[in-house]
Amino acid sequence: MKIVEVESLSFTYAGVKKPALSDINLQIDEGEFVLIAGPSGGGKSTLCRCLNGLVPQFYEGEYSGRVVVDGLEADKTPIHVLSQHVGMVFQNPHNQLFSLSVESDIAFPLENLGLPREEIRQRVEEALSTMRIEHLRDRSPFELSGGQQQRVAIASVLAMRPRVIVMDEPTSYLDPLSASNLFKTIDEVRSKLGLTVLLVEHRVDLAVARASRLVVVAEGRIIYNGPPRTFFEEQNPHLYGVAYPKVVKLSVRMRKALNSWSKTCINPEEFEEEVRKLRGGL
Amino acid sequence: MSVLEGLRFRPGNTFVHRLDPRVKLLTSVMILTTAVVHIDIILIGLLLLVEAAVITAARVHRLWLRTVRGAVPLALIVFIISFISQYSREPSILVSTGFALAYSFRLVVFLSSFSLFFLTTTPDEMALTLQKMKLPYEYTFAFVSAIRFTPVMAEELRNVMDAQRARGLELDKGPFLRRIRNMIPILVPLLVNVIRRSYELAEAMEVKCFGASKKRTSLRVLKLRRADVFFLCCAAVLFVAAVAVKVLGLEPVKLYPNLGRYFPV
Repeated sequence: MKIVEVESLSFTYAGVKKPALSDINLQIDEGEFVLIAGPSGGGKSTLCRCLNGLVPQFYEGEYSGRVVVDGLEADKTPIHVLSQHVGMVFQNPHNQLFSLSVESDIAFPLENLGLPREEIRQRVEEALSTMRIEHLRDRSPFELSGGQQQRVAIASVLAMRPRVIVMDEPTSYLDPLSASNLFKTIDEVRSKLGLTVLLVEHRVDLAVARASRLVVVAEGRIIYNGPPRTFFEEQNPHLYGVAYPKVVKLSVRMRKALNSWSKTCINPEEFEEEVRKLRGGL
Repeated sequence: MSVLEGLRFRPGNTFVHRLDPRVKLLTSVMILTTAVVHIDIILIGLLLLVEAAVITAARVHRLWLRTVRGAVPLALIVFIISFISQYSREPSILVSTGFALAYSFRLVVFLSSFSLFFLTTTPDEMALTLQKMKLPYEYTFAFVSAIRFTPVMAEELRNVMDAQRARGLELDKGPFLRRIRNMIPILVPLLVNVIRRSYELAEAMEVKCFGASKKRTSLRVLKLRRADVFFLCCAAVLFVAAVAVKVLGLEPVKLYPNLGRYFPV
């Protein structure tokens, strides 16, 4: 079932001549893990904001096309209704935590929605345990590391029980280890709750192995949309401002050099397997 | 973080911390009123003792002493002024000292009367109290955000200052006016950052359904427990007694002429 459908979407921010997005077409199945990559200023963030109605309801401009997420038209549904279907996690963890304790931060959107207290309590517990941050319950946001803050932000989005989560560079303030751990958790939560995840990320090497699909956006257009492996086989990632993971680069070279090398590997495990196969059960 | 040292973010676990914030607020108001009504040195001293006892029970006396110490310069000014004015009326060093002491002492009690509330209440509880006082949620939210973002802004200020210093801006040298002018390269980027941040915050608030429902629920509720009622009763009895002393004119200063000679009546 298609959970996200974007049809010939174009958008130009008010006061700007150059369109941020032009003629975007994208369909995403339920349960997919989509990695969105591309150069800065290429339209990735704008695309994310179209999915939860921030464009065109919060940002004004010239909008055309159709975006349907979980059966709702994104430009006509109020953002607070849409938010319960599409959760959004932003880049800067500081700017999306509003309260003085983790618990009240997770409860914040639910309180705003006016849900009954018992239900809020239950959902907060659920979100805390899903993100494995029960021990942080009473901490204040200044006492948390960047990775923990992002976990809290994700938990507060999960508490709204969306079916799609859009993340706009959630790891850009994190160190590599925290980033890698965060991706792992995101993937676990996705498969556990059957969520659809759209992840905008520059750290392609860490994210690509978990993604079922890669979408490359540059200059407001979709340059590539398909399995991650094929992209690296067919294109030069640097041309589109996408990082070229070392293991992929190496296996592409091996493939050119050795006829018996069978595929482009997108993670170290695949690479190891390939080497073992070649050496006959090392 | 020093900006917010006095504010506790995690609920403490003493009897006083667990009290309903409204009870503590009311008690603080009663302490303040008593200090305003009375000038009697004995009663003010008793009041300070009671306050100190409650604050020590909450184990925040160190922070409280710091607040009291902060009030000392102001108290000193009051001491000097009332000493001079009393001395000009009646040139007796002993009497003037007694008067000045009573007035400055009262000021210290006056200034530290809200310590009980502020030192033992988390900002979240303060927000709940504001909400209970029927303040619209937008105001409560503004209050919480102000506390929430103060450290963030402080860090930003430090970053901007470092960045401008690295470009050769001298902040600590030169005459006063030059130093003021040198603040402009700090304030402009800071302001730009604040505006940018406010956009991001607005976006996040939108996504987190801010203002979606007119009837907002809150996860935590304030409930008066038996201990709260008990504490409030004790405070009220003391308060009524203090007011009665005033109304009936039973202050120690009035009863004992010796005391009344040196201290204000």
